[in-house]
Amino acid sequence: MTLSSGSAAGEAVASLGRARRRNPLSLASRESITGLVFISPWIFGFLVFTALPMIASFVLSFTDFDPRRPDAVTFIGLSNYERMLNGILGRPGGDSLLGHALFVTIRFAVLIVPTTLAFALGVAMLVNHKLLAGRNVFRTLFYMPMQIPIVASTLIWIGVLNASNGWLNYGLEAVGIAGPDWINSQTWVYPSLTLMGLWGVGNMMLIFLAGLQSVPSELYDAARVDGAGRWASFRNVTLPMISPVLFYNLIISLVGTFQYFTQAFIIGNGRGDPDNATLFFNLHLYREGWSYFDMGYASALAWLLFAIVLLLTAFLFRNARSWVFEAGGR
Amino acid sequence: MTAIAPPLPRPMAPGSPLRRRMRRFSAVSGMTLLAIAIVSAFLMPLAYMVSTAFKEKSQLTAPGAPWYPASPETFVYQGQEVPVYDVPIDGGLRALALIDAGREESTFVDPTDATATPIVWQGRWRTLHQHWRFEPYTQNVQTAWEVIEFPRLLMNTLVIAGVGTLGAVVSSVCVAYGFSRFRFPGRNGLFLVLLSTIILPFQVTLIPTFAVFSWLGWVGTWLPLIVPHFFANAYNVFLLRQYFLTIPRELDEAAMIDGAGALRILWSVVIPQARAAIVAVSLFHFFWAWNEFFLPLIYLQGHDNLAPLSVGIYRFNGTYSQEPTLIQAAAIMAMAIPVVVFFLAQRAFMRGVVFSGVEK
Amino acid sequence: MTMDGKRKTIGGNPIRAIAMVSILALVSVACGPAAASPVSPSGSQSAAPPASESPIASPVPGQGGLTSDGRPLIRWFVGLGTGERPNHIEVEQAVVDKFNAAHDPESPDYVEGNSDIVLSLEIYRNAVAYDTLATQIATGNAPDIIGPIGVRALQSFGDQLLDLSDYIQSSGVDLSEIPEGLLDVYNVEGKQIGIPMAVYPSFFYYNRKLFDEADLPYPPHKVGEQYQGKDWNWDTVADLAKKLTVDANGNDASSASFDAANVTQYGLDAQWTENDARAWSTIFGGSGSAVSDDGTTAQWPDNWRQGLQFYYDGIWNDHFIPAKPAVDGMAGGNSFQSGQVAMDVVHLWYTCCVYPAEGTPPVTDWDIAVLPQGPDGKVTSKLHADTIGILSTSHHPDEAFEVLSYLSSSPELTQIWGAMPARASQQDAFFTSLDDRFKPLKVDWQVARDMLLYPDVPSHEAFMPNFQRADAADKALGSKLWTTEGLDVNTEIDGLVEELNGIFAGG
Repeated sequence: MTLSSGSAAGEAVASLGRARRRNPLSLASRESITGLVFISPWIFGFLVFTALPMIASFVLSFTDFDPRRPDAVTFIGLSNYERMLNGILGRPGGDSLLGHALFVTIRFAVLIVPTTLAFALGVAMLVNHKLLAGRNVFRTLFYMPMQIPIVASTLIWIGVLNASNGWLNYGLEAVGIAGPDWINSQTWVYPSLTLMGLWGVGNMMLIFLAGLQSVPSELYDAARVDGAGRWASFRNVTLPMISPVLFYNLIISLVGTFQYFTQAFIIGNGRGDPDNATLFFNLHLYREGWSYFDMGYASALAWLLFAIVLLLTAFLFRNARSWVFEAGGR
Repeated sequence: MTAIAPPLPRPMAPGSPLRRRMRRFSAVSGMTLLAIAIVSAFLMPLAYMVSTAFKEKSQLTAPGAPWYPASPETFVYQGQEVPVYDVPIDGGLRALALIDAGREESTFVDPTDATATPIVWQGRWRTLHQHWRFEPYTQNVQTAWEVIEFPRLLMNTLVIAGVGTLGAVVSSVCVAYGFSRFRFPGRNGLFLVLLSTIILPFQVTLIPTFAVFSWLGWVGTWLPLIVPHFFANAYNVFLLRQYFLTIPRELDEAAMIDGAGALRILWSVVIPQARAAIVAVSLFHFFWAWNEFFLPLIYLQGHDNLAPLSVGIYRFNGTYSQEPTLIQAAAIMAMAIPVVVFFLAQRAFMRGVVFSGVEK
Repeated sequence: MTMDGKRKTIGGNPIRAIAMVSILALVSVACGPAAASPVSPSGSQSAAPPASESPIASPVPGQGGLTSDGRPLIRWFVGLGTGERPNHIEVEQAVVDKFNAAHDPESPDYVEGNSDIVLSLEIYRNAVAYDTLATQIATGNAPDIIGPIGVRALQSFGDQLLDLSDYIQSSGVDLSEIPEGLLDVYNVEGKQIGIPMAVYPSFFYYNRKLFDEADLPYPPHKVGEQYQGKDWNWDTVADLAKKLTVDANGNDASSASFDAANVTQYGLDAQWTENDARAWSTIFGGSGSAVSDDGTTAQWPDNWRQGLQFYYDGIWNDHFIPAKPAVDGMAGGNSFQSGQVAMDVVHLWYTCCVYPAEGTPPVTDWDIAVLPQGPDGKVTSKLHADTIGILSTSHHPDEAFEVLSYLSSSPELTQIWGAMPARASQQDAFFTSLDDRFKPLKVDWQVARDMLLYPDVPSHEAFMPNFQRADAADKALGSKLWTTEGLDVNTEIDGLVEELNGIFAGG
């Protein structure tokens, strides 16, 4: 892919200018202005709804702000960051649960991100298959769980996964397997949350589906002419062509995992039950800020989370150049 | 999209047309059966939801209750409703009503002949098979409808989700277009900033944002739930930008030859090409807004008449007042509209894709 | 795979300027304030008290605690304890409406000489009430009065509450009817932060049908009575509970062939204790404190250790108390109402949620019984007590106190909350109203009155240094015991005490 020095649109604009009269603005700055105008809604919204609150929270991270006593706030320098560092390093005076929360989150990400990506892609290919009758119906059915309010869907799963009278264990019993205590076991709660996560793949599936459908069928024909089998055409045509949406889904689901909250909050009673197994990073943050009212420390935690995910995303973007295909150039 | 896709352009197809059709038919039914199997397993909890919504609350915990909505078969004996069991007597099973339960012996009467002498049976009644009758309990739907004032909540939800979606999509298309087609200083940096807002935990900005809205006097109104969406959001912009990048530049250039400006190119080249993505983004945002829970909870606290459905349902999940059957009944009602919207919009979405595919 | 951005001859666009204008127009449509007006909800703009139009609508607070027409606005924040159920809200709104009518000079019900206070009711779901209140305080948008609020909630907002001592004295509120000990519950570090309003003793709710089925006599209704010739203590209860725990084959938990994996009915529970290890310890072990007398060191008294051991063995060794998965399967944790629990230790407020107040059979025939003697040799009835407090940030503390006095003396409130009024003169009426609600059941409410004489002192919800964190650690242990088999309870307690010491020091 070639990085052209001035985009075609810019030149279009420029040549238009040349055609009518001398343009006082240079070609590049005209293009810049057009681009900036187009992104201006976001810039304004970002400044007001994100940047200002972020700055406020950054300032808060150097304080002991307690929302119940807003007047008693004092600057405590780097203490909050010290507490995080000591916690991660296991030194005394640190936040002993921080390392655990990070570990829980990363372990869960390793489980749920590939599982949901593979499942969503598989389902998308299934409901895009030429030989499938009633594809629209299947698409709707696979998307349906997304439309159940989250409180209700989590409670559905808690009911289905109940150890003593849940349907899943009834089903396992029928084939002679004694089902585990899905919700209250420190081991099984992760597979349980992953199962619940599969119910949330609707968006991912749609994005994959849209990606699959934008692959020109000539490419498959060409691959077939070259004698490629199913796997080879998936590997050499489908995957590269949908790499931008794969990349998008990867980023979104990674970020989603680091912000994982609602299901864990409901299933773990807001405490990380059983025995802190569901104390995900964001839940830990929530508890520090909203249960213990240590908003200053919670702000510092938020910034740590922010930094971790930012680094991770930047890393992925750097890598993306080698495998993400962009037809439009840059 | 009909069930049978147009025949594949194979150069040579062996066998007679009939055999070809037969083979095609079996391939289609095999694939469809596979899909049915997968989707059934996937939606099993949904069946649980429907089943729960039509159960009486007491059935949820009754030992030996069937999985479908049912009520115990009962017999009125001396003004009391008593359950009916299959009792093994004289080598056969008799359906008898249990009138006095005991640990090792219980007393039954014959429902067909209540005047006969009660039968004392030696044995444990818990080991007997109880009679249940399939009986959907529709009262849940009615109760949920009335308690949360469903029509009003539906309107609230439609307005919040609808207006928010409109704003989000229009603004995100503009911004994504800006990021994907124009070069300007700091573009990559700005884009990274945009993306990084995805990963910002909402708790970080919650207190300061709440303070801002409170200062504006917007708390207790829909404005905090709607207005921010008119400034694009990172998810939508990212997705749309990824899409716009896959649209070949040649199309833009061709339009420019015809004299189109930036906005016209957006309108007549990029948007038609990206219709699928735009419909998808609209759907995502609409459903997201439909189910958004935490922010309405915070911003509409104390104004239940303004609350959306997601919050209304939560009313049945109090610590001391859990109503699983009502929650599921309300959830079914709440998902009805999105499911229909999705099904309909999906067809448009597909047409858009087919259309743009032809152009390619 | 790559597609070069090929340069082509470019045509012109004759109306570029117009395009730019259109972009701006589009942008302003997309993000401008034009969107604000059509979606601004109509109901929320009126500042007048919405007497009857909507049960939970409330006036928009004006600046400085005044309504838009300049009358003092008192905001009542409900949701930290009970009070958020739909039938509660109805009564609360009626009480508020009555107050407003009597204080509105333009109302026909206006009482001459009354101040022109406007009282607004704000209901918050319990699950988010703490967060919401903290957020409101932080953003300078705090309500005036909060409640009903229990002892535990007080620990969260205690130092934000106004000391009422002076107000009580100057207004001459009659406290003579309120037992001295109860008044002290709300005295935190010398500050009187509430007037006891509602008390909820705990006792056994028992399912008579299940006793009949097992051919067992009902548990005692009077302290000191024996049961089948044995002293009424927790060992007796355990034996009884085993007989009332039955598997799917009809074997009870005292039989050798009992199948613990298929229990259909449990003998004992203490539902909705919320994983609280201190509460479990108090129920089965008697009064105690996790804080030793020096106020800074953590401890777990012997009677609490015994109590917690009893609870743990009851779940995992003898199987007569349901573990968490079993409770989850019982109607959202309302285990007694599921008909599968024979005896349940719950507070008086449980009248909210048991037949016939809630639902249909399986439970139709129940009564209440006294709690047994604990390992410390005493009878202890874990007590919950609610009050209403005034936040120190209130713009109108005098008016807020006037409202508080009005609410404290409104018996319909305690009645609907299912609370025994703290004032003795209101108690008879309260139990008569309960009898009406529970017809044709005849419940022996004398048990509740008797149990009020055996409160846990100090309270199982009493203060601990660094309260929120200490409380969380306590509940983490409760949760672990409730879900994990094969633990050594004393080792776990020692671990908690060590953790608490760290938390107390970190406070």
